Amino acid sequence: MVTAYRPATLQEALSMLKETDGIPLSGGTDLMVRLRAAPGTPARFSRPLVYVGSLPELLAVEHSEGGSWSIGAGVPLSDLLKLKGLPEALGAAIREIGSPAIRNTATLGGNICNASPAADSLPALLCLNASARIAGPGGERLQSLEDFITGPGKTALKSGELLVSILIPPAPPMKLFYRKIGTRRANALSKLSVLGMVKIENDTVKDLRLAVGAAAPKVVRIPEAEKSCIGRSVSQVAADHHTLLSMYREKVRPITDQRSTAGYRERTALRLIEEFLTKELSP
Amino acid sequence: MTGKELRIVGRRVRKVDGIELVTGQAKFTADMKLPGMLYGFARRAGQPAGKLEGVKKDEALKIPGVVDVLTAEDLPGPNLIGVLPPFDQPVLATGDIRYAGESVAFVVAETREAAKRGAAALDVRITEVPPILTVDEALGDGARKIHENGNITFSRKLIKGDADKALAEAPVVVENTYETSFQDHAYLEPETDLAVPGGDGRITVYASCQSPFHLRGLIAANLSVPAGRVKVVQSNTGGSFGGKDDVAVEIGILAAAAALRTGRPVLVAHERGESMVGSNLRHASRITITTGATKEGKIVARKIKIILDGGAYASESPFVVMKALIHAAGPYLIPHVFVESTAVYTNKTYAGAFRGFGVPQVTFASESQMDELAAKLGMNPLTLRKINALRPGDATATGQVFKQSVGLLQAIEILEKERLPEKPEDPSDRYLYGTGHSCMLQGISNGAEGVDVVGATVQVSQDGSALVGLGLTELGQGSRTVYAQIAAEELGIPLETVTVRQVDTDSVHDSGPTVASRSTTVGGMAVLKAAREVKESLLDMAALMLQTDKKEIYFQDGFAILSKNPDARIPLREVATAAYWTGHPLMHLAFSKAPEAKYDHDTHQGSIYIAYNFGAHRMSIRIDRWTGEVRVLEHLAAHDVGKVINPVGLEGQVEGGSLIGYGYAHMEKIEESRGIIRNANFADYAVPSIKDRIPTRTLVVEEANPTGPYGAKGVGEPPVAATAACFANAVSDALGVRFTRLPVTRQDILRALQSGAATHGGDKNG
Repeated sequence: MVTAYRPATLQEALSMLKETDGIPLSGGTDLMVRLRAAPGTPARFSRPLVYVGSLPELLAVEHSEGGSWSIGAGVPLSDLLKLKGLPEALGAAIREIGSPAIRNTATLGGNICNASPAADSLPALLCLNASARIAGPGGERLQSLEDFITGPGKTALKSGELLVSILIPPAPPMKLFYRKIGTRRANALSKLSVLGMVKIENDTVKDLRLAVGAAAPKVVRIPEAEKSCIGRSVSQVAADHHTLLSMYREKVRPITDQRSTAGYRERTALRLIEEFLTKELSP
Repeated sequence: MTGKELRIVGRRVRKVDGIELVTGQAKFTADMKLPGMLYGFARRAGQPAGKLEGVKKDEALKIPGVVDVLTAEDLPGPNLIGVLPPFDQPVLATGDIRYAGESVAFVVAETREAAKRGAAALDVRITEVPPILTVDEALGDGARKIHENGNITFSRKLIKGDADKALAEAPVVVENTYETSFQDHAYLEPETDLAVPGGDGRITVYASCQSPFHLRGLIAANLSVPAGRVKVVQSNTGGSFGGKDDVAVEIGILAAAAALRTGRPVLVAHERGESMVGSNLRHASRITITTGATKEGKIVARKIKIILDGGAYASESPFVVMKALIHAAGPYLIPHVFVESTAVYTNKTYAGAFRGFGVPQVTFASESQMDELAAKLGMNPLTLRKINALRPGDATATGQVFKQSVGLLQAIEILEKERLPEKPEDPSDRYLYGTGHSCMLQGISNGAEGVDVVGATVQVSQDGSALVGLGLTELGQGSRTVYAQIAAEELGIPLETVTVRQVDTDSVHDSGPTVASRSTTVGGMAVLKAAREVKESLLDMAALMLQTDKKEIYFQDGFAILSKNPDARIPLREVATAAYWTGHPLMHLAFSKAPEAKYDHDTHQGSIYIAYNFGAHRMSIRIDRWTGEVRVLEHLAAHDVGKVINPVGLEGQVEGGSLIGYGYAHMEKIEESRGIIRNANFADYAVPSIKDRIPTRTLVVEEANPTGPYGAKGVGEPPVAATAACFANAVSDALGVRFTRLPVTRQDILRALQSGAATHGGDKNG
């Protein structure tokens, strides 16, 4: 049997999570599939479930005048797509997650906490320098998403803690480059994805962010590589892309699984990074 | 055939059952909720080979909600699924476990969850046996026998002339070996059956299935009751493609047996994983072909060896072996042909019927080799095909001669007239372009695979409307629409007034299975004959009413009309009503029987099929050298269909079949390790989505087929084979390297570019 709780308040949820060592459940689109032992068998839960999908704190969305966002971890993805002014990178990533039916129930918090190397929201959120607002027995804490994800399927959430919302700081308008390679053109899990954002003024790179999904245990983002582009001209960056690529080659460490091979992932990731650095930068 | 212009046949019409389907009003088996209904769920072996030592039910029966557990001993009959000899597949395992998806026990419970929990709680003891997972292991010396009779399921030879001698003397010879993977049907609706005890000693089974009479016969046999006690109703069926036969029988038997034991309705609705693991796949294959030709490109001989991996049970393997055998040499005039075709048992999910039925495998191999031969000869690949194409009066590989309805040359010529798509400027040198061709043939209807009879009824009511019934099923292919058009055409009534009934085994004649692209050809002919009989009766009545000879009357738009004076007309509803009151028959059962196959069983020389569909395809693609992504720029699919009944339906069949062929050639692959399918879900098994749709354009050749209604012949299966083959040729053309294994995935493409195997666009630049 599965024991499930449906707390009415965040406080109640936190105490239930702590007391029962429960698993927070919201849309369930990852959890239910991941915990199914074999085709056709019911999902097996070693721990109780705590349904957090109706907690007001997890459903709240705030957009400040300064341009920052606070997005409740339990908001369905399709609702996010209806928000005006949602950062373009996040919208582009969400549109490629699953099918309309999956997006109607899957949540941003779930995509993050499932911590799959192929989670499509993560490259976008990392490039947006998002952070996680976490509630726990000892109160609230903030942690950058970069540090929040610690490995495949692993997060920095401690026992009794819950991801409440995702904070996205204001970002200048930037040109977006997004390539997701899936098993098919829609409703597909990523074999690989590359997301780049760049701000160019007078042919000079003012800001550049680049993340690679499904190519390593965690999303790959290399601040030194990004910084080295800033202040340089577009053609300088393009000319020197081999140096940058070698930095990424160090960090791109994909695996072979049922969706693709390590060789394919590595090679294609580097090619797409090259495309971003050489072709997409020019206006 | 009627001597007058066709008014409804040949017209673009909407599917007669389309609106209900696209608006969600159509009900499927799993939509039915009956009072007291139980849910059935099978416990599967979970390992590919072993000895079943025993199943203890106690723990399962303790689970709240579990009502009953069935094991093999609880089935009253022979515990058998198969529809063909060697009848080797049990419903529930008894001794040997032969594949991981094998059902060992069946749990019924008040809820689906309880049934699953019950299945998990069963104590199933299996002693492991090392599985045999490749055809080479199965055929190896001293290999363990998967079945009593050994590991060869079925093997046949086709011998025409002396291929060895001709090859030895041929100036140009090419040889290669090709392989294809298993493919899942991936229909939207997984297999579902609902058994309802009638309280009158009968039982009704509502089934998502392809061949309801297979279910009736095998359910009755396994319950040890006369067939007439079982009524099978085909529910709306969300796709089948050959897949909902053996497995629909399996779950139908289990549901019916449990329903009789409990006296309650029992529903079995497979989930996707069960569907992929526990129902038949398309055979994986290894095919070696040697082709000999003259320097001018005239093929003199082909020698072909086909090995099909049939998995754990025979299913339709014997017929797939024959179909592959007969089609392997391709749609060409070849004086000397030798083919050996063999299906082999392995400890994997069994293979059986799947749209194309052995033809996609051999067409890929044969058409790949045609391109290799063209390259060796320095000849245009399409020209090579044209030189060798079967023409009317030529003998096929089996020596059968068709004097008409051989439209391959016309199909090729249509392609020749179509200009290749423009290649856009690409200064980046990032993209590679390629074009591939394929030609193929596909035998229509059962032919050598058995009797080929369809019985159809046409019943006209007093209101002048018509009800058509026959034992062939609508599976999404549009056959109901075709039958409605034929009945409307013959009776001269509006299409909207014709209803084609659901198949239930109480009310229609057993028309054989709905397979082999036979519905329009053989089924349509039966409807046409039945409609004509009823029409004769109505003409007799109308002649009395119009006081003239019936030759002077024709029916059109729902009226009986006097030829000499079209203003003199009587509504058909009045004719039908008068016919009712005067005892003129308003219903007729007519049979259409295809000419029997006559051939030598050792050489397969003789007449095998009543007709062939001939096809020629061309596909132009663009490959991204950086990601291996393939974009299909154009896909032309020309088929000789004899006569188009419904152009919309034809396009649907060609586009749908092409997409299955494209998935087969590029995306879909069953990933199996140690006998367990690892990607039994649509996240990891890449069936194409709507966004992966390719731009298929249907081109029509109409060379009338004397054995089909209005000259029509089927087109359900052919596009699969032709598309897969021309895709592989297009990729090979773009990269300058021959791919000999399907699917050719984007990973394979990138690997070829990286390794330097590709002679075009390789990785010379880093």
